[in-house]
Amino acid sequence: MVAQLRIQDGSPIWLSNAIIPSTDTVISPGSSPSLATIQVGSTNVFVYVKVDNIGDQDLGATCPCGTGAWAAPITFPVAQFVTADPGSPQVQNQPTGTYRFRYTTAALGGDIVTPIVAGGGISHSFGHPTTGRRTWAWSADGKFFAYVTAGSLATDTDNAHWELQILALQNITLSDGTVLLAGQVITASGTFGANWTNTNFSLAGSKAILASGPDPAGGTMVRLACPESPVTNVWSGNLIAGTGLTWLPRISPCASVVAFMPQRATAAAAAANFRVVSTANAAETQFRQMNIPLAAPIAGTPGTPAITTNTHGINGVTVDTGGTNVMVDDPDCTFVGGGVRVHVDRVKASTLPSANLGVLSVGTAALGLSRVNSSYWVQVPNQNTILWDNQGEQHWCLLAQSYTPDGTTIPSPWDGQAATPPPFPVSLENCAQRNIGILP
Amino acid sequence: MPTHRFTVNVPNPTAKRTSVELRLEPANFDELIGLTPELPKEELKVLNVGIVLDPCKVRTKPNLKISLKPYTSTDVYVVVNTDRSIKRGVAAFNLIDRRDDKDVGGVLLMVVSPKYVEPPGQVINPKNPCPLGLADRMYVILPLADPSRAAKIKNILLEMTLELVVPITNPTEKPLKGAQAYLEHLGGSSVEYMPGTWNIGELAPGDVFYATWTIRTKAWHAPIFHPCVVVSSEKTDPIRLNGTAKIPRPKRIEQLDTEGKPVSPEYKSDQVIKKKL
Repeated sequence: MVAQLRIQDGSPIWLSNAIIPSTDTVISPGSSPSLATIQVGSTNVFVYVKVDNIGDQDLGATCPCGTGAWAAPITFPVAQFVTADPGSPQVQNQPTGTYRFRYTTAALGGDIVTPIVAGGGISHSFGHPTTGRRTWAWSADGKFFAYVTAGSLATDTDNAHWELQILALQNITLSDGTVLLAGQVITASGTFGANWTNTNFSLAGSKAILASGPDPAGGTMVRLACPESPVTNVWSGNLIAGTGLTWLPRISPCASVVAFMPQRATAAAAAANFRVVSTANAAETQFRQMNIPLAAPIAGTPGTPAITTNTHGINGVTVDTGGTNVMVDDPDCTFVGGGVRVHVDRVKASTLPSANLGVLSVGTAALGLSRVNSSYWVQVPNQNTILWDNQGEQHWCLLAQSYTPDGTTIPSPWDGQAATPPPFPVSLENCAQRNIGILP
Repeated sequence: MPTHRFTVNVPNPTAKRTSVELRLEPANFDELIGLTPELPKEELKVLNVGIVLDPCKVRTKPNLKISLKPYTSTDVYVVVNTDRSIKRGVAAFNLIDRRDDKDVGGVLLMVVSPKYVEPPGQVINPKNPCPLGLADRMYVILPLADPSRAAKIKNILLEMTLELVVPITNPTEKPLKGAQAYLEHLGGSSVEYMPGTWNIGELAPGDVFYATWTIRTKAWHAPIFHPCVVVSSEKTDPIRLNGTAKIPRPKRIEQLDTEGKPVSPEYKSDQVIKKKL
């Protein structure tokens, strides 16, 4: 799959017809505007940029996940759980093949994650677990490594206590668009009412690690550690205990939420409500209808509960409470971030298309969905406080670029606001320019 | 004889001295797409054109060779003299930059007589507009708050995450399938936003969907801004919905600590600063 955007060059190259300053009120992104000259004091001029998707990949609004019944989290494998140091250093390679985990005694260096190929990534030492007990797992998407011990201090001798570390193996884009850099670690900890094993820890897709075990205060202690959450990484909760009541964790297909379903064996079983935790912000949330949070949580009813995603939209998910169905919005893909960004700068015109004479930012706008072989006119407002001031020079050149906001699928090709910007890469498909006049 | 003058910059952004050959060529009127319906159809009679380095010098040769030191630029002046007897028409030239035997760039220069008068903008309607519309005004709420309730926000901070709410409704008498909405921009505002699309799906007649987008205020944002949201549904043309939303100005200069809570306002508050003065 190749993602590729184009802003059509002009002929000559400094007259792209895909960049049109206009005073028209263009109702649809599918309609072409007509060109207007710009006056210095204009407040009604938008720059319209025509963006073509010439790759073989839709950009934005498409859901990367399937539909179907929400699955249980995947418990850390028993092969990745030991209760004592091995006799000799042991190594396990990441399934995706970039990193390896070595664990051994303190005398031989303790536990460490390193790149398989020297210099091929970050290295991180976890020290040595005091009790020798550890369990670990690799996220399926290769983005992080989760590691649990009872601690590495001399006083950390209680195997009911656990300390979870999630090591970012790649840069991870957080839900607010910021980035957790490769090599950074987020942590969670707790103390169960009994010694922990690998079965107390599970992967909620590639979005979170769920820790659950008996709470010394009663019920089940749960912690959900969410690497993509920007502020608070860990949600802490308690699932109440009750006669005939069992809790079943379930993960939405994109793992954007983890739901705890109360399974009530009989009508006489303890009452409990569905609980939902967002992995985007590590906080308890509610199912929504028309994007409005439900006024009250969904109550469990006697029977076997289930949650199923039917479609990615409003009322797209069925919550079977144990015999009664409640329709709610799909928490995964009713909203899909991303799409395409278009940014426009302007420079004083010169005879070289790559020259940067006093770059001024004009503005940025978004295209929510760019389908393969489609073209849309993106309306870019002038967000510069000087508006269309021409600095005494009538001849200017608009420089337009298109890219994806994730910074990786199609990176932003040029930063005109850098201290010393390089030449505008007009030769790239997703960049183009147009001479304009800004009249006094 | 009307004289028209243009100033054009010729740069050398490389580390080597370079030789530049400039020449003027009449522009093809096809290059003026978009302007041509409003421009005079006639061509102005051009008596002569010249490229000069000295704006006071008279020269009538349409080419010029110059040498530029590394990382320097110079302005050249293009002078176009037209015949006074022809009052109405257009003359257009491309000033072409040639280096190392290749055309590497250029600038379009255009003379229009009488002076070009900006035509008023027109409303361009699609053939089959999506019927989705605004159910109510746009407004701003705190993150994760109920988007169906427009509650007044107190204590706006200098940099703060909020949610823009756009209530979208189906005003027709039939369900609309495949409804989607995305935020195109926030007008001239400096407020930042997270782009994304709502896959609403089927919207029943009269139903209201409260689309939200995460926005982040900046230190000196304008309190009034003009979001533009694009909505679409199956078998219709997407349309833009424009509105106005308001974010109150921060009353105090506050900062957030690492947990997102306001730090002590003791020496951050405007009022306290005034008292100390």
